Amino acid sequence: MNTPPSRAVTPQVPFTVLGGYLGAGKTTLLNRLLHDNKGRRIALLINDFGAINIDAQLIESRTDQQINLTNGCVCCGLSDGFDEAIAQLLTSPTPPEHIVVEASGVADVHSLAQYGNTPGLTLDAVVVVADALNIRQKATDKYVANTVKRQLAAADLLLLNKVDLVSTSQRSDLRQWLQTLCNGAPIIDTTFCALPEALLLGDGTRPNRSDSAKDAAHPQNHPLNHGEAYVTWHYQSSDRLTQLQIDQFLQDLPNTVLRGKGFFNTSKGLLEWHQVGKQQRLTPAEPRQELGTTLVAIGLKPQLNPVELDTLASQHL
Amino acid sequence: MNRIKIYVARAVITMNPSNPQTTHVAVRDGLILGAGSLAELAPWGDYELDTTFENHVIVPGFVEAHAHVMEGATALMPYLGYFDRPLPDGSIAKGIKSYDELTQRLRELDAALDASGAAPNEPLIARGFDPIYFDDQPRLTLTLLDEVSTTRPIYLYHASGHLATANSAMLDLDGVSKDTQVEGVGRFTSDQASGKLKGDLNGELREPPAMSLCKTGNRAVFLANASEPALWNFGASARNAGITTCTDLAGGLVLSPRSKDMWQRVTGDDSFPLRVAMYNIAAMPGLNADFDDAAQKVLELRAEETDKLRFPGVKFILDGSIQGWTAMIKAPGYISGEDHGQLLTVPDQLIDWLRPFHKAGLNVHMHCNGSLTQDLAIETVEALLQEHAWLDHRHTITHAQLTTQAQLRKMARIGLCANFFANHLWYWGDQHYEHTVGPERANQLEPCASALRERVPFALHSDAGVTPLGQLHTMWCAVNRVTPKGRMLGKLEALTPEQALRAVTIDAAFVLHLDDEIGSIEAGKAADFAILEDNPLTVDPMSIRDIRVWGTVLGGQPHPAARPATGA
Ligand SMILES: [Zn+2]
Repeated sequence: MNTPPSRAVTPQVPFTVLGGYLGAGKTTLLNRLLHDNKGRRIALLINDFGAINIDAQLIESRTDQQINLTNGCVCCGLSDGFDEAIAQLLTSPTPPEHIVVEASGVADVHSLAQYGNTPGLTLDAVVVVADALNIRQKATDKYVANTVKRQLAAADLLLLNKVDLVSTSQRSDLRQWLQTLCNGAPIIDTTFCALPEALLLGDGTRPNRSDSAKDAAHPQNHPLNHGEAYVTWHYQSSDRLTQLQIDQFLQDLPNTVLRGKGFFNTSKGLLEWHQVGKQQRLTPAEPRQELGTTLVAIGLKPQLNPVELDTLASQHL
Repeated sequence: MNRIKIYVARAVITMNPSNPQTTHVAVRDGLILGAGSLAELAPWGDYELDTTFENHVIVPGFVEAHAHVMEGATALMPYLGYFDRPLPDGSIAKGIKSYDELTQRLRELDAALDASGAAPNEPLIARGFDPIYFDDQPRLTLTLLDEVSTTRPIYLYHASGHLATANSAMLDLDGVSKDTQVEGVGRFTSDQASGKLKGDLNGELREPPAMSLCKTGNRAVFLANASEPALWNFGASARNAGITTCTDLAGGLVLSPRSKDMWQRVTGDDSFPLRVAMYNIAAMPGLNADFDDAAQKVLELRAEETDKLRFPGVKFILDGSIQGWTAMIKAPGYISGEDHGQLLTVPDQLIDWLRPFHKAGLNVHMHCNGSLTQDLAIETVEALLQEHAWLDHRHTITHAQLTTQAQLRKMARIGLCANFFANHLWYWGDQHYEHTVGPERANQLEPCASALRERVPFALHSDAGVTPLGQLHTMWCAVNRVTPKGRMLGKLEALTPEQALRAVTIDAAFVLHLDDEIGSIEAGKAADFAILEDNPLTVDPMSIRDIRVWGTVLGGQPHPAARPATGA
């Protein structure tokens, strides 16, 4: 068979779709990301009609179709379509390290996420923001009920935003009701969409990046915890695992694991693990001598209990 | 001042209710001086009697209030649709009715490329195929296309614009492989006699993310749509069908002003046989999505209007299509229970998006295929009118296919117009009856007679290139309401030929705010005529679509239709 040239040499840029109905808090979240990008070049593709307000002092230059920020981030319009905008970003002299799509309030986020599987990109996650005050009403609205329910069902991670505006009992009712609609995606309570960047976009050191072997081999040196609201779990071993062991481990993983990544060492080579909320992916990885099984998982404190994961690992791995 | 020309015809049908039919029409400097007998027109002074049309019937130049310049691009590529389709050169592309015909046609196209000296791997890109007409047979896959060629990349861009089928050579060329994980990349669901295994690519690409993988095919279609040859073809096809004013109902000049020169140059050419009423898409999601600014830009374009390039308003798209199950329809929904209803505007924002245009006196046409989005359009316009009274807005719901009786009553009271997609009755009537909305609602599809009764002004359209340009065909649909399988859908909604002719002339001009200039034959209006070889009001109604079109007169200038070289 005539196989296409290997694309493994090109780094795969993580691709995140950020959805949710009008007013849920997407813009707040994006502003946070762009303001505090931790040195990462983020490209924001704007699929919405509401312009996002960016501090004038953060703007380096702008054209009709692109705003360049002083911190290396860019915001792009989509007037020539997604494939064109993505192609331009990937061929630019400074390609982005992460692409985030701000989906319109009525977008089919599951369908948009498929661009994340096109060449040069890797789908990171579909993150959906719901407004705790009105999500129930929107889910029965004459016009948007189906659209909103479709978005919830497509979420890998669901942010239940504005939880400060509802009572504790309302909140737990809401969470229970949402749980079925979002097919078991983890639901994270937020206020003003405050969420550690590492949870939203990952920590930016993907295991298949050329410089990451070292990081992954020494995860304990990785600067993940800064007394933040989340907790990190590490696991390392040189044992060879069977597919059954891996499947059982992943199946039993609690949904307090918001993000997971790493490699499983099997007799057929390494399998790369990528997980964000309910999205779980195992793909064959290029051989790397020094690596055995190396796993990193993160979740919120105190929901994620590393001891629980240690037990799980010792049971299955 | 030029000399007066008086045309004599077998009949001049004017669509002016005070003077409905006569024999002569006098023209000077592109304007109609009057319609009447020769004796009634003689007082205008020295004239030349033109007998070219003495055996023809003159009707007002047809007005098509919902079409796209994309129609002109269909002829830039081989056509593989199910129905016969007229081409700009006057010939007819035969419809493809079976897979045998499909492979045979592809082999001919492949051989023609060889004969032209094209490289063996020069792609063959064709459009118009629609699997909805082959639903009693196995789905088209790359197996059939690979039988045509394993070396030449082949890409079939389907009629819906949401699907494509590629052969193995095309998938290889663009690097689409079994490992590609994009949803919408079709796979075999069982092992095949052809040696393909379950999970192997079957060549189908569904929805834009998957279609975008086939860059070669997709890009060729995209470039053709906005090209200058497409615009010339658009003019030629309209002229061949007797159309003198045609909308481009999703114009791009607000979004990409860089093509303005092309539009001005081509429409400004004396030999370009068409007035274009462009309704721009006001904004796309993104950085410059500013509706106040877009309204300003339309007003600026309007300041540069010419006789042949007009900017009456803007277009908004609210939902998808019925046959794609993406139209938003009211309860009880689709009969299959399947519903992929897709909102293309945010309901809570629609009023803010429309307001700048409404306040600036710009006419708004809203694409609603489904009855639910139509409710939204109606509510939104009512709210706008409460804010800002514009009694003669003529905002229009275009497609309006599933309009209910209650919606018609409401529309009449708030001045909303309809533009019915009459061609659906023929092209998808059977599918609607059997699969999408079921018999009752299929019988009320495009409720033209009800709209007349409820006094909702309406036009009829083709949505070309979705279906071909041709107002005689569109009239024929609204009058006969027949389907390819021989059904008559809802005879109580049928129009008389005269009512249908109004809807493709003066009433179509009305929904574009152009009815004081075009759409009827009366003193002071533009001398725009469709020259027909028979009278659509007196022929057997089932033959209306077969009436031959001599061509048009546009602003007093004759533009004969193209005739195929064989003189068929
Ligand atoms: Zn259209």
